[in-house]
Amino acid sequence: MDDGFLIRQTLGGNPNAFRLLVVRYQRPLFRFLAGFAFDQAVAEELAQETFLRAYRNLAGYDADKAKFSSWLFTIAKHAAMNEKARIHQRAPHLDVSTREAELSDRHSVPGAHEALEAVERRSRVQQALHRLPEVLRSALVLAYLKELSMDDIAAIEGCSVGAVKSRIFRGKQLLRAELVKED
Amino acid sequence: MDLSMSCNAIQERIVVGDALDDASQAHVLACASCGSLAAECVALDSLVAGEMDGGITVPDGFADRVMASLAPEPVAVSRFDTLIGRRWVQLALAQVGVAVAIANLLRFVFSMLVPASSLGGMR
Repeated sequence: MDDGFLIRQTLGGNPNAFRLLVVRYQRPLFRFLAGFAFDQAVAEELAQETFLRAYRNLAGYDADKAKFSSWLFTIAKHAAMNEKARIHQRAPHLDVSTREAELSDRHSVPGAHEALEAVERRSRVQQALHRLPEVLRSALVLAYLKELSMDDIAAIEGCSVGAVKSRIFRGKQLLRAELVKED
Repeated sequence: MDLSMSCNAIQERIVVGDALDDASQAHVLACASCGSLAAECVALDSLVAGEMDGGITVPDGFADRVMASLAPEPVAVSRFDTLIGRRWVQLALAQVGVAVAIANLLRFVFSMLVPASSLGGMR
């Protein structure tokens, strides 16, 4: 069942069709939101908000303009940006280190050396991603999802494919530099 | 092996993740600079793609939760149902019902107490 069929079914009043869309896109959506260094609770809230907005605006979705996945990730991106701005306004001093500490707490089992290493590795990547400029990070995270084509990412980012490639290129260079710096 | 190919162009494609044609792949294998960058990119991509989720997972029953939060569709209501649902209509119908019940009760009592003959009825 392709997205178009499920969308038509949803608009025709079949809620199970939308459920299938949720199941299909929930995992990449969570991974995308994780790239913004949100914690589990915020990621859940934003993912739910994204699907709700998509459902309420489904009648306005134009398949000729964008693929459903691009449209959905655009909604998620706006929700993520708004949340980032809200968090920053509320507590500008809080950054990814809060999340890092949270992850460390979650895994601080005595003797769990491997778990601790995994947490450190994860938080290093999260921190490095967090330090990237917003436009580079968004394009890079979308590229790492491996679910979207360059055209899809360009549609979400609202720029040309060339600009997306340039952002990914610069994003990876900076990311690599950040990770090397931390070593 | 064509080492005269532009390293910059190939390296851009490696970093962006574009597919390389056979000639470019042969170049990467022969060129130390491009080969080193390709190895670094594979390592970086593998690390980031593996750790990007930051331990965040889709919770069990997430789709059910989303579906439960969707506003229920308005149910179509007929004009008759709307009319019946109004308070004054319900009260009026109840009063009519009570009046009919009292009338029937009185008629029954009256028929028991007063013989039909006295009312001019036939024996």
